Amino acid sequence: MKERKIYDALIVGSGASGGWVAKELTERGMEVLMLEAGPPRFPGRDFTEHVWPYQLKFRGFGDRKRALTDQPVQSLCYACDEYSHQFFINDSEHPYTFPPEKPFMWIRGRQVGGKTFCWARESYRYSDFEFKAASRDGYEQDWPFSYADLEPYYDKVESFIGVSASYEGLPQMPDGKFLPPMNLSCGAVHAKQVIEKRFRWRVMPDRVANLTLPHNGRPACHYCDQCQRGCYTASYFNSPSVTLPAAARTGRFTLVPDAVVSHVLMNREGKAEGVHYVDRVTKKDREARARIVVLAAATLESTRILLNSRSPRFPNGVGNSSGILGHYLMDHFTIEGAGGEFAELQSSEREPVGNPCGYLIPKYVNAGGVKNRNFLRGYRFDGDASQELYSQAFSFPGFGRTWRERVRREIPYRFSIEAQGECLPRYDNYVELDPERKDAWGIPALRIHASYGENERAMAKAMRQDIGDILEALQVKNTSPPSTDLSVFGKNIHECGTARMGMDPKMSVLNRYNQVHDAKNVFVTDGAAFVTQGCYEPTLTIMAISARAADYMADAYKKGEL
Amino acid sequence: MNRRELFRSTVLGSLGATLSTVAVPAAGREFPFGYDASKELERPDWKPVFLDEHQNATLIALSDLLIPATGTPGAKEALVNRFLDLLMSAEQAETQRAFIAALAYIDGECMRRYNSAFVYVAREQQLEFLTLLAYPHSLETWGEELASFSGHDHFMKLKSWIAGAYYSSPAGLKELGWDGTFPHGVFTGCEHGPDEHGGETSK
Repeated sequence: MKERKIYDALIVGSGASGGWVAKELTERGMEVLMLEAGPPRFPGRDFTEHVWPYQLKFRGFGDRKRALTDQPVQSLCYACDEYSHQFFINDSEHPYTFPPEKPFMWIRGRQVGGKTFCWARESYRYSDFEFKAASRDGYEQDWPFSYADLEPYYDKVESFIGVSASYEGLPQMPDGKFLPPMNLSCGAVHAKQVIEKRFRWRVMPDRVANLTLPHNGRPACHYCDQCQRGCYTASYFNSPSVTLPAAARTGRFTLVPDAVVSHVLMNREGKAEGVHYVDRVTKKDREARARIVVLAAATLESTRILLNSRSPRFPNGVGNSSGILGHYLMDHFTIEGAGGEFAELQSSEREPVGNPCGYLIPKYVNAGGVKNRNFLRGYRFDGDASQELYSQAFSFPGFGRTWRERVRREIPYRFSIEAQGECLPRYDNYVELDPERKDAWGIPALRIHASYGENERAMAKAMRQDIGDILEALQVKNTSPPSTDLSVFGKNIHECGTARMGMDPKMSVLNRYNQVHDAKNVFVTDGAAFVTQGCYEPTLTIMAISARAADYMADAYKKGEL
Repeated sequence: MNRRELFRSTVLGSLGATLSTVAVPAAGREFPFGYDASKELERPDWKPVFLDEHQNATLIALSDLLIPATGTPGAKEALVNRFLDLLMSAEQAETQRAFIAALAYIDGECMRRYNSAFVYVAREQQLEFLTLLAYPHSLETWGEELASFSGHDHFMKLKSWIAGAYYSSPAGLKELGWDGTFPHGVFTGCEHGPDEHGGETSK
């Protein structure tokens, strides 16, 4: 069956990026079709934010046998557990491969809303320390635009979705249009006082897409602190509660779930006419037609679709005349596990709970002030300080009445800290189509080649040193040291690059408006477009570049240029 | 407004309604409202699915001694044994073996010391035996390798399982200050003065 209607634009993917493109294009009067590979989610069936552990069959510990069969990779993610496994893919249907010496962890959410149900909601603007990084240190390429070009779109995105944050006046992490910030716990405030006095490093609340005030018809956060399990009140940003309804309100938006896109349909003139997709449930082949095709299927999926769009005119995939497509894959690396207890904050009384975020120490190295010449770029810290729930039950010796009383009365107060660093874009970190493996819908799987290099390892050394200094200054007890190994590539779910933007078509896949150099009515608006990723979470920037690209598309479409 | 009304009134509820071709499937609801798995464990006709009767009795006796009732329910009343039976039934073979080995160690040592399985040993002796296991008793001597005390390792595993099952039960959650509500009110954060936390800043 062929869909007869030709839409103005067709968007692949319904997450952070696709939602923004859909909202902007429909509000500019365009008829939009969105194809989403996964099913819709319904609060009454799929959300578990207000489910107590004992209500679940395995109390959150999970069904280990099922996890090992269906989600051996996904269950490695902190957010994929018995409560929230429904927001993650079934690994057996979604194979991918990697060389044995380069393990890669691919965490995916395929559903209406993508990963925006279970994201960590941290929302930071990039600055010209990221966009113009190459001009500062000579490594690789600049983004094809500056902070000033993106600033109005950051304003637009923050104003619409609601970001709670403090104004800090830091040049390396610009302020924006904020709701009041979340508050810091006693432990975090204590850490802030010590760290700012001793090291002169800023300590501030995380900037999060959680509402501290009612905003655009959505209620404020109700502080249940279970965001990754869904939110009945839609008090944090996810596309099905925020951007997709805005698109739907125009009456020009059609959403088709369970549509697994395999490739872009290209005509003889080298223009896209639509996409080929497979019905997720019936596995029947389908086509959809549009004058513009926007790939917003998440970094590696958008690139997989381009690589798989092969034809005599595009033998290596659409957008790959430069040979750059698939290359320059990045994902933040982290140094985890460090922390200790604040003896002076141990208490027999429970302190208030419900804070959906912790603290952040923004990048201070190679950000205008302190320089570290052992590596390029930099890192930031985040973490939290709060009372333990019952970990003391495992560490207090003994048993019986006295032990039980201690568990209740001696509540430890734990400080934790994690470093997250920039991964340099490197040509030899890349993805390609696996010659043999296919997914459950017959679409070629990705073979991923990614590893961290000397720069990341040198940075990790500095991170560990700084964490050690912080723990010492805080005089914490029962210290756990920072991990010696860098996190596995992919683990931080900030995969970016592989279809990067650039001024030079020989060195990039997309132009400054996310438009494929080789096919002007094909756009890629998600993290695949990133040139560098700094050390901050990419989602806010993904939304800002999506809104900017959509603005350009609507203008160009009206002028008949697409 | 109850929870159902609350979600229906959100934008997400209304978007669901615009997806006219997609109905919420009635079957296969993984997390239906009001479902409470702990009620399954309370059924009068409950039977273990992983443990045998003797292992189950041993686990009940152990959990009662490790986390006794103290005015509020302890691990036995919280049916820790029933939950662990279910949890272990879904575990990997390695974990299952470790669990059974720990229970078997308890019985084996009791046979050696008291000529009786753990459940039939007098309460004072049970306590004496568990107290022995509860500490590592590591003693370093000249020229000898530090030997780990396997009884302590088994005990610590059982203690972890029992504590995890207890503190995730309704009784255990209450013990930790659970008030039965999810929305906690605005998180006001720290309201202390700048020097009220002790440590370096107060100097």
